[in-house]
Amino acid sequence: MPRSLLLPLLLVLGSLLTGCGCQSIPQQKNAVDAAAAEVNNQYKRRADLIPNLVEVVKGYAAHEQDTLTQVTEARAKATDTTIDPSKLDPAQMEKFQAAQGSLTQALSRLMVVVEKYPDLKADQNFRDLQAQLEGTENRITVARQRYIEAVKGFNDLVTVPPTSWTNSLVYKHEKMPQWQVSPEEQKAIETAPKVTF
Amino acid sequence: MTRPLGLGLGFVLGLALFLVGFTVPPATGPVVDSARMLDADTRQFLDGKLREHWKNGGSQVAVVTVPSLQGLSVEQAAMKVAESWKLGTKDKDNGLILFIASKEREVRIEVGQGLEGFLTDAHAKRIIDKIIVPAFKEQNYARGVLYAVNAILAYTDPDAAASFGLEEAAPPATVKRTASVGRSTFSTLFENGIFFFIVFAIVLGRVFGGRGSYRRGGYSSWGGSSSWGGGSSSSRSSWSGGGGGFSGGGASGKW
Repeated sequence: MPRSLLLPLLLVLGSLLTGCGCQSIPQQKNAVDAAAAEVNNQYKRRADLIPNLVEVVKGYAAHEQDTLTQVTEARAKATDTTIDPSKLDPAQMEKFQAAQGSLTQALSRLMVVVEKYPDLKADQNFRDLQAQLEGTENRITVARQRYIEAVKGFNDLVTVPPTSWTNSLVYKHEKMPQWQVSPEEQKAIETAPKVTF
Repeated sequence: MTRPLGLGLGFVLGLALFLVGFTVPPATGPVVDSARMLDADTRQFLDGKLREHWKNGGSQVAVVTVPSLQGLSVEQAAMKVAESWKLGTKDKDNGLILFIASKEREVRIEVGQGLEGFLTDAHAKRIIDKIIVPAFKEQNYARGVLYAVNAILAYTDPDAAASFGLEEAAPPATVKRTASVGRSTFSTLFENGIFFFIVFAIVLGRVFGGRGSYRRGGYSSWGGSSSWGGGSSSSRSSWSGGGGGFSGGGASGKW
């Protein structure tokens, strides 16, 4: 082959490689893994805050044993489950979301109960914990949104041509299950918490 | 042919802008006062201080005011600004935004990922509750912002905050403003307990500081004061090129 042809050929080959998904599919898979790790990380952060929160609330609102027990139990279940991106399937995803969703609910019930205790609400320690909890809930929202975007990017690559052809020839990845808002959360969004006196 | 096409394109663009609603203001400098809440003296003072702070190797702190959130939550809007501006360096993620929405009367301190350990959510919430909200309720936005920035820096850059100084952070503009109400800045501050809080914060920052090496980075200069939004190739000398990450840490409040 004449040497003058080698360079253009390499260039064409190179441009084919960059556009075909040979690189972008694994890269996007790594991005999904990283986003999933961040979701796990932020949920764990929330779980870590809860023992302290329960302890402080107990000091002022010992009568609310039921609500506190619910929070502790939901926390125990939630810490058992994580998203494992290497074997993501819809069932696993659903289990994770259900566990975290019921913890979210238990926590919001606790925050409604707390309204009855002005001394507790004035406690600086409690206020700090509440600020940290709010911050962490926001981090969870952000991490989830980034995870959803990463999964969407990945699913686009494996389903939309031309990269989907590369996927079916080389990588054979399945579409990843997208994050769904769990039924419990949906209910929480639709019905405002009841305050009884 | 081209004219209807242009019109159609314009219409689509306009519709897109309308639907998107909240638009991130351009990163023209450390103080982007779109809602016109601060007076010129305060803007200038803060602008100079925060530019200098970043140039000397400190964290990249910005104050952003917007007229309205356009239906977003304050967290969503602040994150949009954070994700688009990418304040802080890529390796340190040391950006921070004090975000204020004037119509909704909401404020948020959006803390860069690398600063979360120094300025925790609880610290941010305290700054909002004890400094920003009381001042903003009196419509003294300049005082609230200045003292908040000072308290923020006491956590994020303890060494630099000591040199930033409380005296310096109360420029003539604030004194004038408070004086016109008929009280001295100092006594008002004492009454609100803000003064003690800031002193406490600075002392705490000094004791637990231990970040003496923050100057070591060798940040290059801004290349003239006008290059804030220049987008130059050197990541540390340009405002928009920092690449710092935000993960949603911080706190929000209402006044």
